[in-house]
Amino acid sequence: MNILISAYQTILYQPLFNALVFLYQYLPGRDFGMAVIVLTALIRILFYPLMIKSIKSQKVLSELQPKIQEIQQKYKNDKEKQAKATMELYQKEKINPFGGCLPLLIQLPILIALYQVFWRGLQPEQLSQLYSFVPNPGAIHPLFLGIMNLAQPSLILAVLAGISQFFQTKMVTPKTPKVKKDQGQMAQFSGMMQKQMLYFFPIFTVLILLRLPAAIGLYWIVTTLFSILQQYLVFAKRTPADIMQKHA
Amino acid sequence: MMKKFIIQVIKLYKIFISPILGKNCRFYPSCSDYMSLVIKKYGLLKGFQKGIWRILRCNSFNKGGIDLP
Repeated sequence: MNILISAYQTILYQPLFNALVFLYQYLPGRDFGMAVIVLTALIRILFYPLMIKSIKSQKVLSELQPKIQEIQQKYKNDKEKQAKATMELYQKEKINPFGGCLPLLIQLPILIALYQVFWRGLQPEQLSQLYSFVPNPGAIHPLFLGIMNLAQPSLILAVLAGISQFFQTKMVTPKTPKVKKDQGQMAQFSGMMQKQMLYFFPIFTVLILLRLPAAIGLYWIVTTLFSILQQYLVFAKRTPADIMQKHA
Repeated sequence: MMKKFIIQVIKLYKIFISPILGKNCRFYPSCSDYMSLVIKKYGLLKGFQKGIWRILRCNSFNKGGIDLP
């Protein structure tokens, strides 16, 4: 267990912490908030190649849209059958729009380390973890845009994070036709659950962020915006007219 | 006992965490459903191994598709 923790420290935490201090030192304006934004964006861009394959299959996917809609209509009361039939169609057409669970799981420890860097990185004793080639700033002034103290919780950033979380969750929640009374309890329950989640997550996000340093809130906003962009690129619904325009 | 607990944890993951992460799985049933199914079918130890193997296979180099336990 100890080996795991020290490996996590050396491989994940320390490099990210050093990158943050490095950015803080060298970005114009010496703004800690900008360093947080740039580091978050860099990490998300690093993960981007994992998504490229799925973005490429998007073209085929948009051509299959009518067939997919047909399946959705046919099994609109049975999510299980719908998922299975859709997967059968992908298999037949030899495409797969999803990146896979493994790439996702590999990303998680990195994102957790990043999160910790923004949380703990502001403590002065952390500066002993700097590499020899990263100049010691002496102290980090945790300001964003010169006014917002990122070491304290911030209501504005928490609410903004909640709003972006809402849109992200809304994007991944499938549009379900109104559940009718005769559709069985299970379908009704899962439909209700999904609806509640849509509102529950953002509120939960705001409540948690109100207790954490605002640096985490800023990180949350940037990373959620990136997810929205990626989801848009992969799953953007394109009507046949759009495709015609694209290829014209 | 332990078996039921793990399956419950997977259920909680599906309700609370999975929606944040979006849909990623290349297979039907999804890796988390598969994990529950194999633990039910083969017991905790062997089922868990099979579930982990499934997650390892769930990457861009695998065709994905329908893969029942």
